[in-house]
Amino acid sequence: MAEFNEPRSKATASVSSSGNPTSFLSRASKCAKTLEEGNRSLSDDAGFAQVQPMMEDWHQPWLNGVELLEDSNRNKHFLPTGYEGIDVLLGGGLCEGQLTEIVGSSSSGKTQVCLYSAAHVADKHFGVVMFLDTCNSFSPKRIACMVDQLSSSFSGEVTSGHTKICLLIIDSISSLLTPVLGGKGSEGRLLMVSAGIILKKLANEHNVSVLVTNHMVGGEGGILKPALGESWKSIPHVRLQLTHDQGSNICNVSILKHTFMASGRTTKFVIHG
Amino acid sequence: MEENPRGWIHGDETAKAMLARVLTERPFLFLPPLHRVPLRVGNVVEIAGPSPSAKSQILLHAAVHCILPEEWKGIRFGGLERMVMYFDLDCRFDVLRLSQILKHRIMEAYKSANSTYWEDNGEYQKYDATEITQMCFCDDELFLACMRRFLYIRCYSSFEFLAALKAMHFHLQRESEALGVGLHFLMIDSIGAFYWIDRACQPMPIGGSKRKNLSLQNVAEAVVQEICKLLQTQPVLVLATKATIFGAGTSGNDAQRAFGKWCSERKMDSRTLSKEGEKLLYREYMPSAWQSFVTHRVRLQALDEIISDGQYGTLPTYTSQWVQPPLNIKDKFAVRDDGIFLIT
Repeated sequence: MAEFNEPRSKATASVSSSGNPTSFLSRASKCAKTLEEGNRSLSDDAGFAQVQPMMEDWHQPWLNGVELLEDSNRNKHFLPTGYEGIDVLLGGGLCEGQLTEIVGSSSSGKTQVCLYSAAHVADKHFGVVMFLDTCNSFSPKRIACMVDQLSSSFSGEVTSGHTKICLLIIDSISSLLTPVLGGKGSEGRLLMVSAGIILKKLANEHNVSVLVTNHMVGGEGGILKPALGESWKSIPHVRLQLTHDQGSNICNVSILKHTFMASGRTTKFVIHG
Repeated sequence: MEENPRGWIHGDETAKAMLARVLTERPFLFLPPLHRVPLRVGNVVEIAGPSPSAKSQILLHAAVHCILPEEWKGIRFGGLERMVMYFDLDCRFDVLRLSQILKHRIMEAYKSANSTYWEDNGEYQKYDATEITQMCFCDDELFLACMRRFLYIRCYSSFEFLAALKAMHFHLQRESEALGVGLHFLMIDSIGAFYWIDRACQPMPIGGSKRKNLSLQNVAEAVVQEICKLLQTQPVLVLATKATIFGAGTSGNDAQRAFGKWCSERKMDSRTLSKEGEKLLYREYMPSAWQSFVTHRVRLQALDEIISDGQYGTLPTYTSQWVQPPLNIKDKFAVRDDGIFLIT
């Protein structure tokens, strides 16, 4: 993450080296005025050179394709969910730096997938898992059962592992957002879009994979469709839909949207526990 | 210094020479699936469609076409060898997808070059697939040179977007000096990403009425102003995607419910829209400053049909239709590993 911090440290160094607080204030007001008037001529590089280090603080760093690839290879790993079907469908698992959404009607297995992924990631010592439970679906007993099943090959040595959060699960984000979305006014959508931006910023800057669940609502013609509406569709990186046949323990998962897989691909997997 | 007044009257070049120069320096581009209308630098194209309709895939396909060189070590790639500037306002860009498309295009060019070479020589010898892969992955140099021409920045708010636009020319100057090529594309992924946030900003009357208040109109005007400034010194082709927002501009879910009722009354599949339905879905919500800045408009839609491609399995299909200039033709296309694939 060193290259991301460089421009900021340069900017703070230049500010602190000035020493005199009034000179910094006059510089800041001068640059605010130039921004307002928008009269900065492109040949006026002398004035802009003074303002430029400060402006680097106001936007994200400039990157190119090579730096993006390096960051992706070094920091953005795939976290396997433990269900082989889902992992193969996603090309490795949940990707760090991306927001993944699981959509399904009630009792289609969303919470089960979340709990099992949490147990699997924690068991393989990829990092710390944070589970935000908004609908009272978390059960410590189920997690303990799953961890017992997974670590049956316990070798006896406790690896220290990482203390960094690598997976953030929010079960279910739709129960937080649907009460705000209805009704007149656009505040609900504002909150939803802002939440999406914050989650994606968290995911990218701290190399966390964010997994959220969503429920289904009735659409036109009685067909079920994902909740949260049209504006939410362009927020997650990956959208998966789960369906569960009654009485069997086989779940069907299909891709609604993915960054590099074709949508519409489906696979089946077996739900344990 | 002697001044030659006659030199002022005599022209610098003939019209024919000027046309020839401009058409080579600023060629017309035909990017699939937008190939029906030739695009030049200075055009501003808005690609609108519901999610998902392959809007970002069109941008990536065009970006790869731009960063590939015309020719490399005797193999023809047919690219522009210029830089691309990508503003990621949606924050959903995946660099693995870009590198996937680029690698496939490089491999295809190698394959076709090798097959023509052997046919010319009178012998026909098929290269082993692994040998071709090895050959072109040894060419890391080409891959890295292309990736270096792709410039990227994410923006988490309109304020960051404006700051980046203002600081862009300084950064571009540095990069073109380092790489020796100019900029050809300016891509904005999802110009409407901050619509709901900017719309809800109340204009704050701060003491001192000279400060501009932050509002949806002002943000759009500032964005258009900055891009115009860039177009004056460095002509680029602007491609912007726009996600459709159902019922934008109306209160809450009223429009959505009305549309839903209307659809169920006519027992229609939500994908087969008639003119009224299209008006609701593709309803214009961007401020007038942006609307008058756009010179070309395309609409995308996802279809329910899938095609099966031998190598890639089943693929979903999409249609694209030019709205400005208005053409009554819908082109069908699908998205493969190597980019956009037109279905005739």
